[in-house]
Amino acid sequence: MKRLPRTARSVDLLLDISRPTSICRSCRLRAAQQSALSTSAIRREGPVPFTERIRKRIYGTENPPGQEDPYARNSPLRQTPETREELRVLESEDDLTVQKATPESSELANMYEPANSWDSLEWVGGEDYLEALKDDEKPYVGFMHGTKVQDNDEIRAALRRAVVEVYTLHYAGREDLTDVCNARHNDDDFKSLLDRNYEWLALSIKEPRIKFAIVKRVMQLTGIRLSDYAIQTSPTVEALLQRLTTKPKPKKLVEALHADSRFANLQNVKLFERRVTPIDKEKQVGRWKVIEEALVNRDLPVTGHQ
Amino acid sequence: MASKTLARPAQTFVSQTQCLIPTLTRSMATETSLPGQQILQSYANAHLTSTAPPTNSSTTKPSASIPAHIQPTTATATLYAFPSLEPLRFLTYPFTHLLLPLRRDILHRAVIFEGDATRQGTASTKWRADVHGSGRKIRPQKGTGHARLGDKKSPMLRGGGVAFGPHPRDFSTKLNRKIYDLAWRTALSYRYQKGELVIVEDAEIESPQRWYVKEVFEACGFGNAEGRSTVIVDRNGARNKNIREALEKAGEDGRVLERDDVDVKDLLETGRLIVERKALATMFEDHVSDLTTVNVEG
Repeated sequence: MKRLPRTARSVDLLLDISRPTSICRSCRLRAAQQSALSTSAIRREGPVPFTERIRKRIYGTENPPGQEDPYARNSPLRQTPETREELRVLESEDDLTVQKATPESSELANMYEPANSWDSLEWVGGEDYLEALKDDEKPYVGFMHGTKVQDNDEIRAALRRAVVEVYTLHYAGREDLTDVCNARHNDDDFKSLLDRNYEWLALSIKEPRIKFAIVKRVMQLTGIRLSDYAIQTSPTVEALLQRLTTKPKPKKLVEALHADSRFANLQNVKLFERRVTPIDKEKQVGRWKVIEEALVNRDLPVTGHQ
Repeated sequence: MASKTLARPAQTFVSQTQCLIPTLTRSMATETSLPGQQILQSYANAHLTSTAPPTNSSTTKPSASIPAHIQPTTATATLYAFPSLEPLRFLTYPFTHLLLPLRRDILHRAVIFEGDATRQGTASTKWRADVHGSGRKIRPQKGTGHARLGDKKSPMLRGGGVAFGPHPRDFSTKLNRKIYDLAWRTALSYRYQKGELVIVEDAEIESPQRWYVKEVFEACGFGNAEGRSTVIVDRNGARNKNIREALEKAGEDGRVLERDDVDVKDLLETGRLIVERKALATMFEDHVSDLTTVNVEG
C-alpha cells in the first residue's frame, strides 16, 4: 500500500512552527515521530481478556450481562462446596486484615525524617551482629559437665559418689536407678568423700542396670565420656576408674616428651616443638634482625629455611 | 586296623601344627594386641559357620560344654540422646557385629572393591578408524626419498588416531558378598573398639545455623580439632533437616550421610561415626550374609 504523503498526516500539524506554542520544537518533533511511525491501534488501559472480547461480540454491547470471566478460579461454575467455603473464609479474613489508610497514617508518613548519620541506626552485619543473633537462640546445653575434670582425686571422688548414690537407690528398692542424675549438683567438695578405704573399688558392676546408672552419673559429674568399649571391658569399679583417669594419648611427640620427666632434668637436652631451622639458630644468637635488614636494603627476598 | 594305626601319627602331627598356627604366625597387617581370648573365639565362631554354636543374644545361657572364658559374649553399647549426649540405655549387639578383630587385609579388599566400582571409566580416544578423514595414500610408496606412509590418520602423524588409547570401560572388580559383609562389620567393630562409634537415637539439632552445630560439636568433642565426624542418618528427611543444613555449612566439622549411601570407606574415614540406632540396625541386617545365625539387636 502506498504510504500517505507526509504533508497529509494530521500529526504534521504539530510541526507547524508558525503557530505559537509553549512546547519546544524538539519535544514536538519526538511526539510527531512516535505517532507517525506507529501503525498499531492505541491500546486501552489494561489488557481485555479474550473471553471478554468474545462475550462483547456475542451480546453486541459494551457491557454484556453475566460473569466477566466464567473460567476464573472464583467463578460459580468452578466452585465445589469446599472451595466455596474456602473462599468465604478468605474473604472474611480479608475484611479483618486489610485496613485502609486513614488520614492519621498519612500524618505519620509526614513525620518521617530521613537519617543524616548512621549513629542511631540499627547495624546489620559484622561480628557483633552475629554475636547478638546468637544471644537470641538457645545455647547448647549438654548432659555432661561443661569442663572435663582433670584431677585424678576429683575423678575418684566423683566415681565414689556415683557408686554410693546408685547403690543407695538400689538397696532402697528403687526401680529407676538413673534417678541419681536428677540430684542437683551441689558444691560439695568431692575430695571430702575420699577415704583411705579402697574396698569399694573392688565392687563388681556386672549388672547392666547398676553399671549403666554408675556410668551415666559419673559421666555427668566428670564430663568425661567413656567409650562403649571402655564400659564393655570394665567389670569392676576399679577398672572404670582406670579408664576414667587414663589420659588420652598425646597427639604430638613433643607433648609426650615434655610429659617425660627424664628429659626435664637433663642440662644438655632441650625440647623444641618443631625443627630448629637456620633462621631459628640466627635468632638465638640475635643475628637475624641484622640479616633481615641487610636483605631488605639489597631488595632481596627475606626467606630462608622456615 | 593296620591302616588306622598308620594314620594316627599323621593325625597328631596335623593337629599340632594347627594348634601352633594361631600363636606363632601373625600377619603384619593385624594389630599387635588382640582384644582377648573371648574375641579370638568369637572370631572363630564367626568364621567357622558350620561349627558355630547357635547363639542368641537375648538368651545367652552358659553352656556346659563351652568353658566360661571363651563363651560368646555380647557387645554393650550406649545409646545417647543427641545432641545432649545423655546416655539413655545400654544396647547389646552380638559379638559377630561389634567385637570382630581387625582384619586390615579384608578392609583393604573392600575399599579397593568400592573404589573400582566407583570409577567412572569414561576416558575415550579415537583409533585411526574412528578419526574422520580419507584413506588416500599420502605419497607414493617408493621414489620420494621419504618414509613410507599410508593415510593421514596414522597414529604416527599429528591429527591421526591414538594407538592404545583409553576407551570407555567398566573398572569394577568382584568381591564375594560374604567377604564384603565381613569387612563391613569389621570396620564397625574396629570403630567400636577404638571408642569411635557413638550410637544416638535421633541425629538432629535444634537449629540449622552453622555456629550452633559448631558449638555442639566442640562441646561434644566431635569437631574439626578431633578429626571431624560422620553422621549416619537412617533416612534423609524433615526429621534431620537441621543437622544436614548445618553441616553443609560447617563441612570442616563433619558430614551427614544417609544409611544407603554409606560404604566401608566411609566407615573408616573421619574421627568418629555418629550413627542413628535404626540406621545401625538396618546396616547390620544388610551385612550378615556370612553368618548362619543372626541376632540383631536394635
